[in-house]
Amino acid sequence: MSDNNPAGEGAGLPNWLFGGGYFVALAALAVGLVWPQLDRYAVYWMMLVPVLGALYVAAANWKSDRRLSVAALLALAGLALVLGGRELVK
Amino acid sequence: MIFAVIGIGLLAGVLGAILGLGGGVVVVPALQAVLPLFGHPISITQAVAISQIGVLAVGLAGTAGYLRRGLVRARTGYLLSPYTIIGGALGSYLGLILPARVVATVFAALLLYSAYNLLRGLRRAEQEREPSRLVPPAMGFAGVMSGLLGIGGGTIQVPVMNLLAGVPIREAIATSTFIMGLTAVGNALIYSAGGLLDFRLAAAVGLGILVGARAGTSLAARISAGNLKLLFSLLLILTAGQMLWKYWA
Repeated sequence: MSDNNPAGEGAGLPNWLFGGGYFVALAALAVGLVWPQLDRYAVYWMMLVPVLGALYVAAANWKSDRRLSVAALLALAGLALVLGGRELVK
Repeated sequence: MIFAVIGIGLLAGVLGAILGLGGGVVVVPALQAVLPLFGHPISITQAVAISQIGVLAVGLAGTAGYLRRGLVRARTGYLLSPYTIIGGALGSYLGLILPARVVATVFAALLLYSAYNLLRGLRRAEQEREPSRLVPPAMGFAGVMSGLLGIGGGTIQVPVMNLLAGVPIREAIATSTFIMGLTAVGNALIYSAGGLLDFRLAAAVGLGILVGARAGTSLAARISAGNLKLLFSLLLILTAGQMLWKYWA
């Protein structure tokens, strides 16, 4: 983490998750364009990366920083609300 | 056609990395201009739906880079993202029900505002301060705009975090990019449920942006952003005019 980022602000969000998620997404999207029946799964993978990040932060900080953990869970709850609410759109 | 859409993504990724303005501002008008040339006309709402995946790609590529440099304030991001996610869901729903003419008019206003911001330069505060009570509703508004227009919302989120929440400008840009990934997930879910998300075109835009954002980061060090800003501002004004003409003339 950089020196000017106050302690705890990084939230332990792992570099490897987004770094790895980027390269997997790159490969998955390329595969999805060659085999169109797979394109939606490549898009779903991209959607999954931020969700996995929030889950990781919520779990990793549950004991040490409950407020942060709850904030990450709130972000996930917002997405869950959208997921439930989208049934109204269908 | 797919290669043209990948090209649009590449352009959005490169411009986003150099000017800090890409995503929907490039993708939505470009899809509407280019796809009809291939006999595949597209409504502004369909373009906005595809652009949500473009924004997600910007969020993914940007966050990966900013995390390496330690610039993402994830705690602030998670505390603010519920507002943008709920705002985004509302904006996406509005995008599904509002007439295309209304969406296009708001989009044209956004293009003009973005051009003005590019020419004027970013106002910034360098001192950290206690967050204002206006931050949650302002972030909610950023979410509404991102859902309605298929933009990342950085145009609103960065000044809000910097001027109202006291986050230094570089961290505000990084944290806004991080938040926009989470917001775009919710927005894309809504447009997908509305049957407007073309996964093939979205995958092509996403791929272009992932590559373009990386390439743009290394190009940014070698290209003078000054002339590019002026040129891109004029292009934004022209695009806004064309959009208004198309839907109102």
